[in-house]
Amino acid sequence: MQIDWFTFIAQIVNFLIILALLKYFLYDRIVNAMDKREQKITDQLQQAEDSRKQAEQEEENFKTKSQELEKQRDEIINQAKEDAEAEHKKLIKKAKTEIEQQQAQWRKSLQQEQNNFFQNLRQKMGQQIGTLSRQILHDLADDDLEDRMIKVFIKRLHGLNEDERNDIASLTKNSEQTIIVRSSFEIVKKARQEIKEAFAEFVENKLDLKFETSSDLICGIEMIANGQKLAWSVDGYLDNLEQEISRALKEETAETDSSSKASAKKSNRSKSEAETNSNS
Amino acid sequence: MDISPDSIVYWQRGPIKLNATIVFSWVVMVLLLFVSWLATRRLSVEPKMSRWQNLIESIVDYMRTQIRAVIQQQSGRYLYFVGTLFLFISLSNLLVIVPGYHPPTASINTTAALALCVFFAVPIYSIMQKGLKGYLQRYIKPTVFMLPFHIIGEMSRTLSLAVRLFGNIMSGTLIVAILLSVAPLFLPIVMELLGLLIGQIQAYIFAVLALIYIASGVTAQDKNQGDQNENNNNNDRKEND
Repeated sequence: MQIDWFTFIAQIVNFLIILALLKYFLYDRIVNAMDKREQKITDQLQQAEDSRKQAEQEEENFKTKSQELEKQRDEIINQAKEDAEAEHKKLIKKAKTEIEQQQAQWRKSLQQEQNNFFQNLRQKMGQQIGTLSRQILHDLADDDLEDRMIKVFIKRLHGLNEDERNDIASLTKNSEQTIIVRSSFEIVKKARQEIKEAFAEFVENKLDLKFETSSDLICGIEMIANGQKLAWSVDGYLDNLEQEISRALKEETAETDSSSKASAKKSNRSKSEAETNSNS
Repeated sequence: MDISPDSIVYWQRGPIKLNATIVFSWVVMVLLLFVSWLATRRLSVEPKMSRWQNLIESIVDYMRTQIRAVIQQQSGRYLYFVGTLFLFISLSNLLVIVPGYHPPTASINTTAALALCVFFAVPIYSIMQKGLKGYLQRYIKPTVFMLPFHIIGEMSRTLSLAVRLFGNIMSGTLIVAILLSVAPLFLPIVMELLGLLIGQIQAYIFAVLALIYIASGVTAQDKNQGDQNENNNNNDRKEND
């Protein structure tokens, strides 16, 4: 063991060479790469942290937005409910009004129908009664209905009191007033003559008598002179009959009306109950 | 029986001779450079990297961590000197498993050369850090009477560095040689294993002692600054935890 100076110095030189070479080839490069990687990872972590914060922020925004949307949705639903309620009420009101209108119309048309019916009934009955009476008169008294009517009419003319006669007479006196005799049938000539004679008893002037046939008179005969009227017809009897039938019908309809109203009330009550159930 | 690699001379002309110490030092140097080239030829800054780079990075990072743990501050330029010391000695000692190889560290010339490098590295680092005046002042602290003791301390620790490494490695080789003649089977293998372990430990000890000498030369001048650095490092570590 002794120091060999050449080897000693050579080893120092060797060490310094390897020191310089390793510094250049190894440490600087490796440390640089490590530092760069570290920096990169730090950057990435920072970036990840930023992204996370951003994501959290966005999540927060999203939550707020979602809450707002929920609130809006609730508001819209409430509004829609209110609207529907209002529309519901409006429709029910409208339906009620329509029903009432229809009811009124129906009543009106019913009334109309009733009137028509009575009109028809009256016409038919008059004709029937005329025919029937004619038949009866013909069969029992061997007489004609028209003849009987004319006779009754003449009898009435005779039966007029003094004032009435004067009225008719004054009519013919003042002007050339015509007296119209209207009947539901054609008056034969002979009968016309008898009527004229009957008038002639209290009319002094020239008598202008006019005969007319009218289908309006169901079965009868009448005289019209300046607003004055003298008549016989089945109308009177028919009026009585009509009143009787009408009263009977009204009683009938009143009964059905009250029962129908009661049922309608009942149905209304059940409907309102159902509504309260659905609302609750 | 001469087991010093100095005595194996391959080529000689006058005072210039190529003995096993120099040749195997070159072998170790070439190997180190080759591995460095392998590791750094395709440096990657991505997490994905070559195996060589990964290996060298692990070693370098471990050395940096150790330096930081000892001097309580950033490894900085200490890495070059201490790291090279460690790598050179470590690889020199590791290669004893290769038949026909003579570790250069078994030569007193090599260890003395390395110790002398450390001897000069201490003032160089110290002057780089604090200037010449600051360095020289530490020899007369706390009093001027301490100057001879400081100088003796410097000398003796350099000597101890050189002899420790030389003795350990040389003795390892010597023991194997002796045991081969006494008990040729099995036991030399065990001793060889022990020699490998001792070689690595000595490399570590040599590097750490060199570091401590250098660091003490730098930090002893300004204790306050050292304390401050220590505090900073402690804070850094707490943050890392």
